[in-house]
Amino acid sequence: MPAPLAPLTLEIVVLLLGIVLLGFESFSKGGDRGWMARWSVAILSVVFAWSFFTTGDTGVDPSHAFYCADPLALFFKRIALLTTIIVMVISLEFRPVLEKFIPGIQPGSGTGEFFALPVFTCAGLMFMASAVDFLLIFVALELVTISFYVLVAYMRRQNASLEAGVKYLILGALSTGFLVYGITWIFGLTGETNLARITQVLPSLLAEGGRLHGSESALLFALMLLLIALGFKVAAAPLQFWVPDVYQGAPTPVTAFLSVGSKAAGFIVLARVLQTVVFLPSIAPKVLSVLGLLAVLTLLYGNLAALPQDNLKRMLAYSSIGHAGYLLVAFASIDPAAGNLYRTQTAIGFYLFGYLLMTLLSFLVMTVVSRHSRGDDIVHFNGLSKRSPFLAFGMLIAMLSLAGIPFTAGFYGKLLVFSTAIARQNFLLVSVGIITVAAGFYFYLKVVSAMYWKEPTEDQPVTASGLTKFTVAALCTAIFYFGIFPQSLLSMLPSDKAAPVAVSPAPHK
Amino acid sequence: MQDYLPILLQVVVAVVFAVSTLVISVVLGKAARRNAMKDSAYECGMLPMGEAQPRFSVKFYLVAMLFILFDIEVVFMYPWAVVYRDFLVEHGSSIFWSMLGFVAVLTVGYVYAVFKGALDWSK
Amino acid sequence: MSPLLFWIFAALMLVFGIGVIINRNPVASALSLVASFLCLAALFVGLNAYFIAVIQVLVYAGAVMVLFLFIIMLLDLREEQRRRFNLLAVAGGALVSLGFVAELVLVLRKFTLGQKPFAPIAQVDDVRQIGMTLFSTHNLPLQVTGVLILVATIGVVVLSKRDLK
Repeated sequence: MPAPLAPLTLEIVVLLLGIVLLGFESFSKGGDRGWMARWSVAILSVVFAWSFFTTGDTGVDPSHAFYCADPLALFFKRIALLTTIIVMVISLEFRPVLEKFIPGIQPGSGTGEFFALPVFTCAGLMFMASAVDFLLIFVALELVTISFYVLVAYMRRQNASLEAGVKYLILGALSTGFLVYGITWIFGLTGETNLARITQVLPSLLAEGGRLHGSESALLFALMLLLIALGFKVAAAPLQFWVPDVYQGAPTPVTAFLSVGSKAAGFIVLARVLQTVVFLPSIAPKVLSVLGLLAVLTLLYGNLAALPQDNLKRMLAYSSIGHAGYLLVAFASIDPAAGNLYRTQTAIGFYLFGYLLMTLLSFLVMTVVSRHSRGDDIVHFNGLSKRSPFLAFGMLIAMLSLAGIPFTAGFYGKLLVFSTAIARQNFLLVSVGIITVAAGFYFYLKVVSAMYWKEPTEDQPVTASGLTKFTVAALCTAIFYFGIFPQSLLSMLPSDKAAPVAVSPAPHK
Repeated sequence: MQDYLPILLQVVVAVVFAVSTLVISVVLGKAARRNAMKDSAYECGMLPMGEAQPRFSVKFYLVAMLFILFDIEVVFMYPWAVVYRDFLVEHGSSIFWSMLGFVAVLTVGYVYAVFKGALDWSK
Repeated sequence: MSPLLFWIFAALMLVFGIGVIINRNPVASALSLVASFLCLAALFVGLNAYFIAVIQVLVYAGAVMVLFLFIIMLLDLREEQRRRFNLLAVAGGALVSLGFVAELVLVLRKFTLGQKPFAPIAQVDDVRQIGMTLFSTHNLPLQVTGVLILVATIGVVVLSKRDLK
């Protein structure tokens, strides 16, 4: 067993990988860059395995706590790594489409950065998972967002990709503005950017006759700004309007990355920020009711607007809004009396992991099929079971899990989320959730019926590379494994029994 | 507030100069006889026609954007240079390695931009 | 900073800010933005934040504005000048910003700190303080910022180089 590693080495290795890839890209001229993706998959898999040997509480910068490595952070780092690995596999299948839409001198040129940038994004997501100071949260979030701006607009010769890039850039910049303004307010109130120290300062600020009169409304205002910004990032209604166009226009691997990686990072930041305020008795009810409203709106919008969609990519965009709604249910059901967020953290951790498996599986199959059928409408999936029974089965599993059929990871995730709402006796959220699950069955099974009960329009078989087939098989297995044995995943997440890993607040200078 | 007096004086001089130049040219120019030919820009042989604001090539944008990025890098170097000596005494050599890491990452970006031909004007 | 100077620069900043939005000629908008940035720099000077004031002038009023002008030159200006306002969008935007301002005013009225001037910070060497903090305790965010600039460099080259090799 190797010696325990400081968690920061994970990020450093990922960053070095990105820099090395970029160096190779600088000096190479034209030609196939697929090896970059394959090497990234290999090295990131090693880092993923390595993450199980890191110790949770190694103080990396004890003088000033920006970075923590509690079980939750490590779990979300693994989500980031796994997402990037599968996105690389999707990118490999996506290469022919990519080469067609970028102005390279020869086939393959200009695609290297498409494989290097996700590695940097991954590092940014990993920093976000560990960030416990608004400064690091902001810088890491910008690292993620800026690389996404580039990736979304990557196919410069396709107008849809450019349009998506511009829309994402403008709305992303606006939401960043809200985030920074919110952080400024919090800093102005408390004089701190570190979340742990903000938690210490706030109660005395809010106390009757405290230092500042009227801090409560100022704090609520700051939280509103932060919620607006994070709502954009996780695509919560009514801040979701950019999602369908951006997801449909972006290159498919980037859409997959956005819908899983960016969402996971947004939710962990939301969890960290809420942890500082949600146990304050005067703030909690207001914040939780706002979160509940967001959850209801997001659930209804995402699942109902997905019903009439004919394009699978766009449908998955609405579905990703819907899933953000289920995750928000877990946030709206935080128990302010509990003193910790473990229940919510466990629910969102498991849910996001299951969501990762099933969403990336559906995007992977979609990339392969749409390359052969030249389109990603649901019609293009007609009769897929005859053209490639294996891929059709993979898509079937993904859709069943997204819909929430028992014995899949998607089902258990929903169960955990609803159990938090039931524990708080929030039956409005539960009933809205169940209605939207029913709506979900309709549009997810529409894809299944197209694959299995419609006649194919073309009859040449759909082929995929060995790596893709392996990934599809692995993802299908994981969906069932974690659906049947959820305990193996839950043990990695924080629970009530485990001692809380405290972020050691440094003495203020 | 006294410190800003020279700046204020400079602003006043600049404004007075600009305004007086404009006023004088208008006053003196009015006196002369004008016609359309006389008001047109001086140009041999052909009539000056076309847009007042010609459209630029995207190359300018590429260079300007790269300039800003390295400009931002310099923003961090300025306080670094100011405190370097004192920092070595107070906290040790970590300041050197810190900046070295920062610059090393950005050098990768510079090498990348150069070898990709981003600074190559003719291509 | 004397309150009079604050109000003068704040008012000028807002006037030029409005100028950015209502000017039909994009070049005039961009120049209004420069003026607005300069007033903001003056406010920073008034707070004894000289370093930020200098950066504001160098990076924003200087470099970023050059970039803006280049982009404006890339565009077809006449189309922008011909474009009609979408009244519904203007009304909606005005409503949202008015709501935001109203909320801000409500919060500030309740908030006593908002009515009490901050005690002036004693004469400090702000560049020195920034340098000391940045390179001792704030090293991690600094390095991540380096990576951020690197990613932006890649983005610029990838998205605007004519023929990628």
